[in-house]
Amino acid sequence: MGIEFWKDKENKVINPQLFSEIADREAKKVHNAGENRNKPSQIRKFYDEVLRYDSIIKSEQGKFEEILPYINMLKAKAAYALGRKHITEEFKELISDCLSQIHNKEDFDVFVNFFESFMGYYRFYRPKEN
Amino acid sequence: MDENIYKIALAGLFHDIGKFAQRGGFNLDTEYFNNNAGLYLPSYNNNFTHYHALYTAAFIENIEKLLPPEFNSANWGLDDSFINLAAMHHKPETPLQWIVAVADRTSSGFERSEFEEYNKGILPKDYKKTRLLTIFESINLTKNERIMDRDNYKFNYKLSELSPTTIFPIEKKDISNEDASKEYEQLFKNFLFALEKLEHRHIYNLWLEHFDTLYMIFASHIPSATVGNVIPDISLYDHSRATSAIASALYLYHKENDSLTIEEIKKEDENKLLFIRTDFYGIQDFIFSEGGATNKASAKLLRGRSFAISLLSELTADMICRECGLTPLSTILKAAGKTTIIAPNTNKIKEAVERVNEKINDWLLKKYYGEASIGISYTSAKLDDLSTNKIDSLFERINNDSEEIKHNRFKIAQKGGVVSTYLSSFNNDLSKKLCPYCGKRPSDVEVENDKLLTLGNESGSACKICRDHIFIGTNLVKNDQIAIFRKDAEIKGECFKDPIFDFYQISFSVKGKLVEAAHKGDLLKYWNISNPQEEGISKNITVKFLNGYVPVYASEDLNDDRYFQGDKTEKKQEELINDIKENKPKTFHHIAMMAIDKESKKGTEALGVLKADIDKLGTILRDGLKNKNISRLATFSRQLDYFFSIYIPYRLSSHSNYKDIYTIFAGGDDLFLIGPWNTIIDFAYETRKAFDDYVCNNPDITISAGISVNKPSEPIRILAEFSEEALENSKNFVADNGKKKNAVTLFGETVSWETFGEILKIGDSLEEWIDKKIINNAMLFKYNYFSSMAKLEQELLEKKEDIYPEDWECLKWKSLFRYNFVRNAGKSFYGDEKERILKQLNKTAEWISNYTGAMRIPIWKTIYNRR
Repeated sequence: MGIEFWKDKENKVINPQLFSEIADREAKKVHNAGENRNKPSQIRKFYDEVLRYDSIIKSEQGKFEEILPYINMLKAKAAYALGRKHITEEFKELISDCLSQIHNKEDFDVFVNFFESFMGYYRFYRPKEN
Repeated sequence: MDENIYKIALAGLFHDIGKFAQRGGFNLDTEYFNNNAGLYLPSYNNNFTHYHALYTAAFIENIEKLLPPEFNSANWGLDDSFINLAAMHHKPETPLQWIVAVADRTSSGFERSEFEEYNKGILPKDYKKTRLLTIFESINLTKNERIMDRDNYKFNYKLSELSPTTIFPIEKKDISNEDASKEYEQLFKNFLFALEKLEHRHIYNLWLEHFDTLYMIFASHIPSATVGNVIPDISLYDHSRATSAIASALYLYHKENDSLTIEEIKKEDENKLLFIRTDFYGIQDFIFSEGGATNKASAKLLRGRSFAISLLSELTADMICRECGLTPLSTILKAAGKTTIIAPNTNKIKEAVERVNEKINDWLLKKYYGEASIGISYTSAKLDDLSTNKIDSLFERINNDSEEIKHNRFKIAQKGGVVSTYLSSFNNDLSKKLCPYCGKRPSDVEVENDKLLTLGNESGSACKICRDHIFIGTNLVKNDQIAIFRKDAEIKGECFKDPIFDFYQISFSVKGKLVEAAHKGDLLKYWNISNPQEEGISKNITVKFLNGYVPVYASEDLNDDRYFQGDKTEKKQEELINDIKENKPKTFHHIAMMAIDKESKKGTEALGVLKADIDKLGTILRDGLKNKNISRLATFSRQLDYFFSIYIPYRLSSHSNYKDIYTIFAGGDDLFLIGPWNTIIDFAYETRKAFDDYVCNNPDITISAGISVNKPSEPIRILAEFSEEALENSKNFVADNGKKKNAVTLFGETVSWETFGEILKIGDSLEEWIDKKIINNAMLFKYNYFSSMAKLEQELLEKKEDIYPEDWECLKWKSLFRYNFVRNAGKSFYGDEKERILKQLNKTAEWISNYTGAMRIPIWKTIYNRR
């Protein structure tokens, strides 16, 4: 089961479970993967970065095409974090799975919302900083 | 008036009383049998049949002393004795006996051939074991017909007197012959006992109505027919009433046409009958017309007005019967402002109806400027039209004729235009020139400073009509009886200033001189209007179920400190305290305050307005009710009415939880109540459950409700409109399984009753959590936000179209819920307890997911209850 953004990409029909059941499932998976890794603070770093790109795009300081390479760099950052054992394979997989689906602004919008939902659930599964 | 009509009407009512006597163990001695069996009983294969007719004769002879003396006097009216009129219906010999026989058959809806078959019917051995089945159980609107024969009914009525509890069906159980007989004997004994105590035996017109009540109380649960394959769901009472009405009409018809011969009476293809239908229009305007002082006196005024509507309907029917030379027994169907009367189809009657129409509507036009009116229509019918396969089209005609009148009720040419005397009718010497209660009629000097109009320390002005309505509202709660006189009768004590239709005078506190007035013909009606109690219904005079329940102050209300809650001015508080007078109706402001919890003083002071009515009644009557005849229709409509006119007021008056709920209207097929908002919610749910029991859980008979919650200071008309809208939403409801209506609307959300029950339980949990400080109010508002998101999400997913980024927000509510949950939930709890609480709270997400927008209902109920 991957993370499918769209139910019907051509007609822009979003996967209705993406922000709920799937976000929940992924949060649980990442949480279960390792007690000493995937700490909320680590995950939060990635989320903050995504939010930063989002606000740049929204404020039209930069065009999506210009920002996309930076977004894709998150994949490398995830690999690095995995190497440092800050996160687990599961979270790195999640990031690359998502990034591979981002081709235009709409895709990125979906990703931002998905990540937000993921964070909501993640906070639920791992309420304390550990 | 031809007094023979009383003889015919009572003979019709009595014709099957022998069934009651026979089953009740009335002793028929051999000598009487040998002397009379041949006279009254038909025979089949050399055996007598229809023994009940002989019992009718013997019983009448036996209770001779309990009947008005005229009925057994040989030289009163017609040649036929009363006893023979009543008892010869299976072996009629004279024209008048034939009239009762034909009426008996017609009211059962039999074709001639069926009747002959029925007439051979031999009573089964265990006929006393047959109990009245319920029509409700057999109603069927679905295509796959449930075949109902006598054996597959699961419910029946207890053989007993009519009471607020016995009107509910019970599970059918096998009963021994011995117990069955005992039940009948007991009922019969009680009937005789009550008959002895019936008042006004010497004034037969009053007595007839009193007896009608008595028979209703005792014969409503006696099955009329028990032979053959007939489904015993028609009560002896309704069959007898219909027979009486048809016999009366036939008698007048043939008398008028000089055709009182057996041959003519037996003819079925002549338009002999005239169905007169009356309908009250403008009920809303009538009840809710308002002026500056309306809200202050609203509880009394509304009660008075709503009672006045019932009174106007009753008295219209009475006036028609009176003018047509018929008894009140000719009125056969009565529900929610509509009545149906069976009269003879003659020109004289049509003229009489026109006269009444003119008199009544001229009066209404003068008093209500055209806002309220009573439509009177008539439809001619053959006896044959009442047979089972034709009665539907007869009623369709009656309804159409009535509809037509509705749209043409004013002759614009004569009655239209300006009321030229309106301006000159004002009196400038009065303190308020325009009546402050209706805001329409000029105040009247005759009622200036009437003590009924005192509000606080001020006395005041009013028009006579509003004064009379306040008079009713004030007296209804104090008096069990109402006496109706001719307007020029001498009456001591208070009465109407403006007699109804300029003919009927109303009085509540009549003592002493009644009999004298009755003898003079001045006393027209004497009714008991008290609310039925568990132990039964009052049995000494006529009973009318017109009086809804009204909350009154008790002495403990003076010690109630809820009146000081909220940010009221000292003046307002003082006013509220001053209003408290024992046994006076509570004002709506006081009722609203009863929503506050007595102990914790928490809760919102507001009124709940409940409007409810039966779904698809027209369809039920047309398609759901099988094997129709006039008696079955009468039984059905009366039984339906009793849920609203007997059970509802009984429940309100007998259950302490509901004692602050006020009836604006309850009868026919609908109800309209005002009470503390939280009590109203509980009552609505309970009422639906009770209704389900009442109709044997038949899924084809359902009820829908609309509830609005409002501040008591809002005009009642607005409250009524809100609840009306809410009811409208319930009527448009379609459940997931495709079922329509059968729903309730509250806080703008419409749900099925099942869901309503489930979410009310959720509300209880939420309240408990608030009390234990597991959640706070802010959390409730968050839940409310999530539930509206969940509702949007549901709509979005059902749409199956583009979901634009702007619409995504609602898809995230579950995640937001989790996030919010960790941040706020169970903050002040630790360890295992916290774990347990978090688990509980987690349920909320499930609830919101299941019920989406409907969660508004328990959430707002909790917010208002804990404010």
